[in-house]
Amino acid sequence: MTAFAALTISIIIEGFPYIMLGAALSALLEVFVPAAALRRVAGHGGPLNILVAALAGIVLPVCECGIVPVVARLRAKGVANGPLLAYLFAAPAVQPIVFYSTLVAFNDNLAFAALRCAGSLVIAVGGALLLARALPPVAAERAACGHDHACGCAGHDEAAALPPAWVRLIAVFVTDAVRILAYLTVGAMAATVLALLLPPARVAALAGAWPLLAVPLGMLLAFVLSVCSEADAFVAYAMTGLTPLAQLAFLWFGPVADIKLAVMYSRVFGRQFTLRAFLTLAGLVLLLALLLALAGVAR
Amino acid sequence: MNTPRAALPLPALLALALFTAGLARVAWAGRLTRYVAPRFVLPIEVALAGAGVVLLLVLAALLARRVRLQWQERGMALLVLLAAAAVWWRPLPSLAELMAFKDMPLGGVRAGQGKLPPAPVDADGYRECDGQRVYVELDALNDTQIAAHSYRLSLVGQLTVLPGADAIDLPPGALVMARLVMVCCAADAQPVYMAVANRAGFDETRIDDWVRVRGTVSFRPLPDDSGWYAWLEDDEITAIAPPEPEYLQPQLIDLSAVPLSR
Repeated sequence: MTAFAALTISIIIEGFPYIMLGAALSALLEVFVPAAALRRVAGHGGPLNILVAALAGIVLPVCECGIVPVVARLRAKGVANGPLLAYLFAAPAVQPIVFYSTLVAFNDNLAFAALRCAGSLVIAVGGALLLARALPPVAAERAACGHDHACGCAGHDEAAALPPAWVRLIAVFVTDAVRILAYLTVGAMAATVLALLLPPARVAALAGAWPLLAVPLGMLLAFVLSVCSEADAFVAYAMTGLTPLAQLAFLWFGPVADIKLAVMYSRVFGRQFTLRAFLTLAGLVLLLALLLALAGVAR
Repeated sequence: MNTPRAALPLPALLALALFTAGLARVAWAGRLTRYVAPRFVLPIEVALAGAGVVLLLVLAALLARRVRLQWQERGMALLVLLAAAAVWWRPLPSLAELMAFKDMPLGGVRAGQGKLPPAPVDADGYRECDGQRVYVELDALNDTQIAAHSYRLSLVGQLTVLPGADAIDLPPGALVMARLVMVCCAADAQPVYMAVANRAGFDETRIDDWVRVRGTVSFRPLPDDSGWYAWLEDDEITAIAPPEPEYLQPQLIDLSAVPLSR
């Protein structure tokens, strides 16, 4: 029990700063950025909008936990599904901290770090293109007013009287921070239990013994371990049982699909969409790995 | 005219306050590195400061009657209270408990250059290794060579019980010392081991004690001839205080480059 609690709480503590950052960004978006402006910037969800949204992930250093409240807020503001998903999938994997940590972990192997980020970008854009239509639209009521109804407002006659901006900021911040901390708590507990059922060292050993299974096993490890995208490169490097391609698959899949994200995505997008998204993203990672293998890169 | 008020869920507020206070207590006691890697400490402290400012602002808003407390977000708050309870409890499992829980097999991290580090030599001829690298290097050497024979070493570790110790056929009385290598948090920690001959007759029942062992490295074959394991012929075993941080950090180890094709 002590060990279970310590391992679970360690995941939550590690994610804490990113959740606070994500909740702060979400609150700033809610209070200061009009929904119409966001919808205009994000566009109608065409391929170019999706590509731009994925590239926007480079400038915001938030990991996969912190991005969820931001994306939930953008969705509530009516941002089109395509750019929204591209940003969700790309931001945790292509941002500068992730690139730098991959570079450091793999001993200044620039090609590997570039391949990691470029592959993540491709998967984000591909995933957004394939999944945009599958995501149910935001409830008309929420889209109309530009936020959900735990927004901290006294009512919806805001034009008449709104609380001061700082008061609305803290109300949104507290609500978002607690929601995401709650999802992370469930996700961290699930990750600890699953890591117990599927010991990572044994899965890595299996990948070493069966090279053909190395890529899917690398993805399975990423899903089970639920490591922060800003540190996952060190874990991948230590798994010498994995081929470089399987290490890349680990690094591509982890930031977009793991146990804690399963809980978080389910709360924001619904279970059915989450399952579909994970399967689609897994297919894209496998396809990209296959293409690289055929091209003779990173085998 | 009524002052416009923002709605604030009271259960969420209490849960966030309790979690933040518990984590601040852990940080204040300098125990964050028991749970996360040192590079996460500063972001956590900054986030704690930010959360503290928000909670003070909430207090100010309450006093100024700018917020209206509501009984919402109860389920979410309950889950966060669970996490807050764990943070206040501050569970610190022993190394042996952690290893047994995670079913960590023999081997652990294998990512070395196959060379022992050029550590400084003390007055008695022992290399003063801080443990950041030597375990990993010795582990990598196990299967490959025995070039490290006669390397005199001063090494820090925690006495432990090795899961599957029978598989390496440890001689009677021998000890195993270990360090955990943590990448980002305790959930990903993996052990690296060193078997110690225990010529000093150190009491075996003192599991989880931190010790410094000074001795000479050699290697012993695995019973099935599949390789070797590192073995320290001790000259001296001394009980010491736990080092800070207790975990090893692989990114501080000078690892070899990995080519894109192996």
